[in-house]
Amino acid sequence: MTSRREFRVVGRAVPRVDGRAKVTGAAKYTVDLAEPGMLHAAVARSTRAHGRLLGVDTSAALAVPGVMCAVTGADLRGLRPFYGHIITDHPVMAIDKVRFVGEPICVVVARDARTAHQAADLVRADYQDLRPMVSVADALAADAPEIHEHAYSGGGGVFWETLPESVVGNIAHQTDFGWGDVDAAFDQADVVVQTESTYPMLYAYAMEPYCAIASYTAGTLRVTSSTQHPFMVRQELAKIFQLPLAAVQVRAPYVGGGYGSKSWTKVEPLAAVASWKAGQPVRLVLSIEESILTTRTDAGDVKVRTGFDRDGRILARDFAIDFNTGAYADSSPSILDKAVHRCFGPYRIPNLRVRARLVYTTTVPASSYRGFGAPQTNLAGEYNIDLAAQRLRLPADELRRRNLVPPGGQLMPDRRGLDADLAADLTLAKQALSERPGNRIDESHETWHGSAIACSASDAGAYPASIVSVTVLSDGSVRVATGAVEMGQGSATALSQIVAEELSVDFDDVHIVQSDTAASPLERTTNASRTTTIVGLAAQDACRQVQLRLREMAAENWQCPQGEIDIRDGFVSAPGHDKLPYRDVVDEWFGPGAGEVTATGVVRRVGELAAMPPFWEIGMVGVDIAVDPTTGSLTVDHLVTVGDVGFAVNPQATKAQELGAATQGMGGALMEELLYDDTELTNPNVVDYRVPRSTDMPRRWTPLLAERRDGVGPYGAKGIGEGSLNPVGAAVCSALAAATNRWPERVRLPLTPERVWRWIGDDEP
Amino acid sequence: MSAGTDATGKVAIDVTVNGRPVSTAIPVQETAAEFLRDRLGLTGTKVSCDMQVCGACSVLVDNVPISACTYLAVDLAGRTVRTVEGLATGDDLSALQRAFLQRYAYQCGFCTSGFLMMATSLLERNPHPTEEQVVEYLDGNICRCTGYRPIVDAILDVAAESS
Amino acid sequence: MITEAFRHSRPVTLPDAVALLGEDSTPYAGGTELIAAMKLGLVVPEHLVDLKRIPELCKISVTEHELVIGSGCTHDQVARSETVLDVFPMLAALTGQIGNTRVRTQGTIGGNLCFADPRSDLATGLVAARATVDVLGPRGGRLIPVQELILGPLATSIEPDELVTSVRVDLRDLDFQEYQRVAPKERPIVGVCVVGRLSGWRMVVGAATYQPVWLDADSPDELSTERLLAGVDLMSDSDASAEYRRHLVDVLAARIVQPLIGPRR
Repeated sequence: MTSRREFRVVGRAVPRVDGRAKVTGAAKYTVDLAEPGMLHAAVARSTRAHGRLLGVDTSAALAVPGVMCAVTGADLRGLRPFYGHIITDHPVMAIDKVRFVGEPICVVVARDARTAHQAADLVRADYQDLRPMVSVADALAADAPEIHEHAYSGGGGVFWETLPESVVGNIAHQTDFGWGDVDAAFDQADVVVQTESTYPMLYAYAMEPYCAIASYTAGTLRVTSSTQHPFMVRQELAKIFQLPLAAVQVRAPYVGGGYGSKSWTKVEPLAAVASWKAGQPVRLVLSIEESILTTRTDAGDVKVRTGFDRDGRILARDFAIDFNTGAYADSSPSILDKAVHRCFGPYRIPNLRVRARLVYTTTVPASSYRGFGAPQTNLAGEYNIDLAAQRLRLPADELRRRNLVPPGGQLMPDRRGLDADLAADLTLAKQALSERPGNRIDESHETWHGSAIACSASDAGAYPASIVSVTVLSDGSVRVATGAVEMGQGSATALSQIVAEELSVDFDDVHIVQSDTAASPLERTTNASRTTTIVGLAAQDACRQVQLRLREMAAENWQCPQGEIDIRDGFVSAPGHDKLPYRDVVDEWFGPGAGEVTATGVVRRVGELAAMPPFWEIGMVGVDIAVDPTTGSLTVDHLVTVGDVGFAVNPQATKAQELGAATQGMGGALMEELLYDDTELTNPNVVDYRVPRSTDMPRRWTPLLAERRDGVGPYGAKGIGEGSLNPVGAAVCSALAAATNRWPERVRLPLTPERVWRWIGDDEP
Repeated sequence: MSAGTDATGKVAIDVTVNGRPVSTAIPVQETAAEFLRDRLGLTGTKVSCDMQVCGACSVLVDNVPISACTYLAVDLAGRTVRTVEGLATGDDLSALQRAFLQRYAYQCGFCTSGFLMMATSLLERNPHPTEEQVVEYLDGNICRCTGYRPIVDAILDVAAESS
Repeated sequence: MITEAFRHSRPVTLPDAVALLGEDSTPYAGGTELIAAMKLGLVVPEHLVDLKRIPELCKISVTEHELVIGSGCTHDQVARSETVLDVFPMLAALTGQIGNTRVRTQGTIGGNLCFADPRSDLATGLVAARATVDVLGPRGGRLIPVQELILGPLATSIEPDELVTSVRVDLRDLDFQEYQRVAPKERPIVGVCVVGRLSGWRMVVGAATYQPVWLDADSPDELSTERLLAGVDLMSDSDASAEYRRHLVDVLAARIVQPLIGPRR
């Protein structure tokens, strides 16, 4: 481990670049922005889960004074009104069919928001009801009607290894994965452990709801949106309106939370068609309830069998996975593909079979959320390991040690070797968990205690392509242009730190431009824990390119060979010449104040980045829990997170992400669940959908960072931000089993107090 | 005594916002959040859940924290309102704002103004709260990014500083 | 957002307030329930009467034998009142747990009682204390027990032109007092309150039931949850099943009563 004094700026908790704006209320989010002449939109939504949309009557809405226009599916004929970057199945709003309660059927545009909402309440629709199907079982029944009655052309996604087959019944995507001969291996196994798990539908709850401001004029479209992927949104809007990419601009100001739920296209097309029809800029702001009706996360039912030899070595694992993905596919085919890679854990597995299905249902469409398929399936895989440890009479961590893939070892064929030391991470977690000062026992009634550690390794990082532009301005300050979106994770600060480090300039002199397709180079996505690693590498490359330009300029200024130019510590020098700051070299080359130096850094899937994934994202989480057996109330006494980050560009920001991820993980483990009756959500609000609050904090949190410089990113960095969520569900389940000494073969999240009470009392989940 | 409506059906109110008097006429149905954000342009106060449970819209009315999303703007008449924009004095941030920066007590920042206003009100009524008191006081403010620990620590830092 | 406009009045005396009440007008103070309902379009009042500017509704006092709390007092006011902490501390503890901090600083005792949400802490505690409320209308004033004020979910016995002006608790033989609740989300799923007086003991269950139910006994060991809940329907919803609520009633009742009566025979 190298000393921090090796670096000036990276490796430190510098003041975040977005801090002052956020604590003074000056930071502007899409909800805060307005444009001159802006109108306001409101959405009318389907009251049916499944049906033919026979007609939409907007006459009463249009009669309200102040209403400018209303757009329905029938009005979209001049456009290609579908989006969906993998399966292009998602109409901008319902056209001939509705597929979930809450699906947009009309967008009303008015002079003010109040009028738009009043008018939207007056929109009426005629439906011919079809059978609602909210569960996977409903949708896969022999006589189940098809939710999508025809196949769609693909979204043109480049990076998916298995393109989805055309829709079969209500299966949006299915995949089989594995190697070896699982059945033969099970015949040889000494111990076979079988478990099932259910992971609920969740709502990411980014506190800024979905919103977009769109302005369509004369063949150009300008959109401001609370989005993580402005470039992907631009691509989809360009297709919808049949415009060249250059005629479409999408920008993201500060984003009030994303966590994956603002990946890819959401409400931008609604705002855009509203502006297209109205002829003026239009702002659409959804309520949180409407945001819940816009997207949720995939729910997963998983069955797993693991065969062990008598020494606890895994011989085979067999997984069956069903995801309930809702009415439209969004990114879920990819989530399923990732889930398939993330279910079996970071273990040596000689024989593997995974069969997975992504099932359409007449519910809110699911899309990405932190973990991207890992939380749903890690729950199954890791709880199964802990139950197996009980049966094998081995400590759970010992069972894991006997099976963990070593550093450099193979997790999956044809993939990058493991760039992490999981056994060392496990040791860190276990040591931290067993130090227990201040473990409180409530005097008034008996509590039971248990602990567990669960782990994960995700093929994260998405795709290793990135472009970053760095400019040294005429006053020596530096502008960084990147398409990466600052949504709170600290990307703007980390990238600024990297540039300041590489160029040896003051951190305060680096300014980062917010993501805007008209001003930033292309960055496909801000997700998959990739930004520090992949975009950071591009930023480093851009800095190298800037310095090459400076070298050329200095050589010309001083009429000497480039080889004699020395650039270090923010200065340029050569024999016989005093060292100059960058701006003086630029001034001399261009003329005073007349120029600047811009260079572009590029990352592609070559060299060290050829192997996929760019890095393995590690999760290693330990929990100590206390259970009140009379009420089922479960508290987390101690949370341990190990951030196996390679190198923490900003250790404080890294730890902050770890706690945020683990807290969302605890929400899914203990309290979060979207509930459906036969047709619709019964709790689409954040009173009845409970997210963790201050009083739910673990009594103690130990954040550990493992910085072994073993990643491919800048200074040996790897990505974090999702790893500490993935194993939380399993860790809590196993800790509860340990505390109660009951190890059911079926587990279900969230472990609400009532479910814990029933777990103790031996009821089925 | 009825609130006077003018010819356009609006109600006249006088209110002091962050120390400055404001006189204007507003629709009776306008909420305090709409008044502050849309009418006065003070967009630091945010609306998230819109049903009083997330705290993003917390502001102080006569030093009492309220949910601006569920408070009529007409009820602000004659009162003093403080929002996040009023915490700093010129360029000088308040102790809480500085502590939030130091502790990284924010990530996306959307909940931050609500937490700052609640923390401000807590320390005004109880300058040296225990950790438990801080945690309980903030129970009606949701943060989806930080896991709360850095926010609580920032508030405790300020409480410790002042003793 | 609230789409429909309404008349808005702001009386500063009680007689002015009463004069404004009637079928078409809706009194409010904190607005935590009313404004929320208006935003959802569930309630579309013609005329709102703001009670927040009437000083006599916001006072807390002790007469020779009664604690008197103005209906316009916020929960927070009651929770922090030196007077309440002195003479009836359980009520301070109870009101200090209602909702969240801002629900407590905005919401009022009167508003909470008159909204009559079954999942309420306050009604449970006040019924256990055998509290009464002053009701004022154009026909004069009357005093009714809280248990007669609340008729059922969201229903009270007062007329549209009447106002609850204060809550009274007789302090004379007030002795034992404890409230326990379980609230995994904002509102409690079960609340159990026991108040012991020389003149008798009372146990109340609320939040699990459609309205508070009570059992009176001479001594604490006669406070049986089985007798209390015989024939009473418990609520069942996605927050908690009736079975779980029933179990929690026993747990909370035991926590309160067991220390008083010693080990089980």
